[in-house]
Amino acid sequence: MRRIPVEPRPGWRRIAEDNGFFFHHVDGDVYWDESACYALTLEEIETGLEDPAQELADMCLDLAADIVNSEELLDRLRIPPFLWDMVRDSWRRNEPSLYGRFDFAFDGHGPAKLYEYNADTPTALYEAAFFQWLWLEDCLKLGVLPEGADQFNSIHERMRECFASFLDSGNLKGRMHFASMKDTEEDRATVEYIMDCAAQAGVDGKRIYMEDIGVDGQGLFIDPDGEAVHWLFKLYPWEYMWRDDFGRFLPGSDTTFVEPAWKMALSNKGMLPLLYERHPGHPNLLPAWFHDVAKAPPVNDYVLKPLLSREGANIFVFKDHRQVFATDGVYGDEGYIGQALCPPPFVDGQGPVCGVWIVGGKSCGLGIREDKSPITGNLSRFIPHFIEGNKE
Amino acid sequence: MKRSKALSLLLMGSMTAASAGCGTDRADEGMYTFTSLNECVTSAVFTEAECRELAMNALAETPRFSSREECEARFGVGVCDGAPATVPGQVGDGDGAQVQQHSGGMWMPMMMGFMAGRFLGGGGMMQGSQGLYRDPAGQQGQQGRSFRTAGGETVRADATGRVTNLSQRMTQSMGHNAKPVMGRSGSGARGGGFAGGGGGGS
Repeated sequence: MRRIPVEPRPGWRRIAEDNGFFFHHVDGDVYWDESACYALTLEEIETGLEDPAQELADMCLDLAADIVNSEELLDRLRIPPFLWDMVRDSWRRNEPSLYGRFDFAFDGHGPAKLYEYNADTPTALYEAAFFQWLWLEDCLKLGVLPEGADQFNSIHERMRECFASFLDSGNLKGRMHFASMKDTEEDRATVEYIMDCAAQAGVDGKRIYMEDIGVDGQGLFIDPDGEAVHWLFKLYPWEYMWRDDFGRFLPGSDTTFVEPAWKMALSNKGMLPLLYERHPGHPNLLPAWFHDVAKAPPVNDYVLKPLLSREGANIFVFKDHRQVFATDGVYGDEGYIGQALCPPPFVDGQGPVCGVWIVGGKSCGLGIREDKSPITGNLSRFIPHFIEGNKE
Repeated sequence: MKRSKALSLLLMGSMTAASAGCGTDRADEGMYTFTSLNECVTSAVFTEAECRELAMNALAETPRFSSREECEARFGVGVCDGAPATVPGQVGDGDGAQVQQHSGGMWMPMMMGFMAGRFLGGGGMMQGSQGLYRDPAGQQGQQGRSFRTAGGETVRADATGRVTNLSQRMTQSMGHNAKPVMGRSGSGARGGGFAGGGGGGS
């Protein structure tokens, strides 16, 4: 795995905006950065990332089955008891999952190590699935990349197939609503991209905003036109929903959510120690535990992360049990987990984190984000990748 | 190959963040052709939200086929876009692992645009849309442009995009997704109970 400087495509900003990608810069800093790219071998992709992500995805399904059927574990993850039946029912009904993203420390040397699983509202989908693909095709045409270069990225095709399977299963009847919050450009683009994939598979979609969802006299969710919301794709975390005023209407609703309610069991950092308990010494897992202030952590260098947190907030890094780094944030009331410290590999002064996408249960693509700080937050840059062609 | 073979976005893209305001002549009967979402929005016949919904409805009703041949038999050679499903490779299989998989028929004619407008239907003034595909006999020129519908009818439009040969069959085929132009009255429902929490994503 190498980091290679490349010439950005002429007029790439216009290309981005023509394709509905307006958040290529965030707060004045470049977010989509095609002045460099990562080159990986097919072996690094398949053995290093694709297969481990598939194995972890399968392990996570086994873990979810354990969690949803155990009140002790649901409580340990601080999922509120009023939702336990909903979580269990959604698992027993086999409600389908669309996607998730595993974040790994990986540089081609040694096994990829799992930082976390973004199982509910993973971001950077559009960039990875669509714009990165376009970059590769353009660079092949421009001769910037060697002939035969490929990319670990069938995310878009898998998305279409996954929505088609929702229809085939007979579960998806009528229309599907697609919701994000107002006033966020990144979420707008992501939801519109997902809705586009769904439409291409034949799903009748309707775009709404979380803020505009209402309840009718029976406490069922409706859209601003008064239409019932039977299927809701939400780019909005479960733990926000359960804290919101309308959270109390969730258990009695007749809405099926994507991601489904059972994903609450995996969209929680508590899944890291539970996974490690079940697979101690697994090459792709870092030692992890539920943090208890009364107990010494099992290793000297470690990270504390809140059970529920996003975008790198409220993370504490310890070396020799002394805090050396921390990020701000509003999370952490529910408690923390500990994870053995594993800084991103530094490649040319940059710390790449490899996000491997799972769509419809299948490992199918890669998006690399890098950051100069040790925590990948929401200001990391997205760097495209390619797979080097076979050398004869 | 480990990447998607062909990608297209039908609804995203070419959309500017801010767009023209509400339409004019709201109750006017008329049918228009649009070759992009942007064209619909800038036409000011519909609001941006209406354009999205009309385009989405048109796209959702595009016929799907399980093979290229079936699609081309109806829509003509070279018109069909397919993303035959790729099953991610088995360990070590590399390029050899691409398997065609049936998932509800993934071949569809490329949509050239959509027609949308208002017409008199059973419930009064209705608003609906349908997809437009390449007209094998048509030409695009200064006099206007022509397309065909999924049902095989030729649609001709003048230089402003307005349909000049509107027929009852065309409006009938928009019956599935058409809805009355008049909005609902207040439902007494409450809203605003979500999204107290701030941004999502991780």
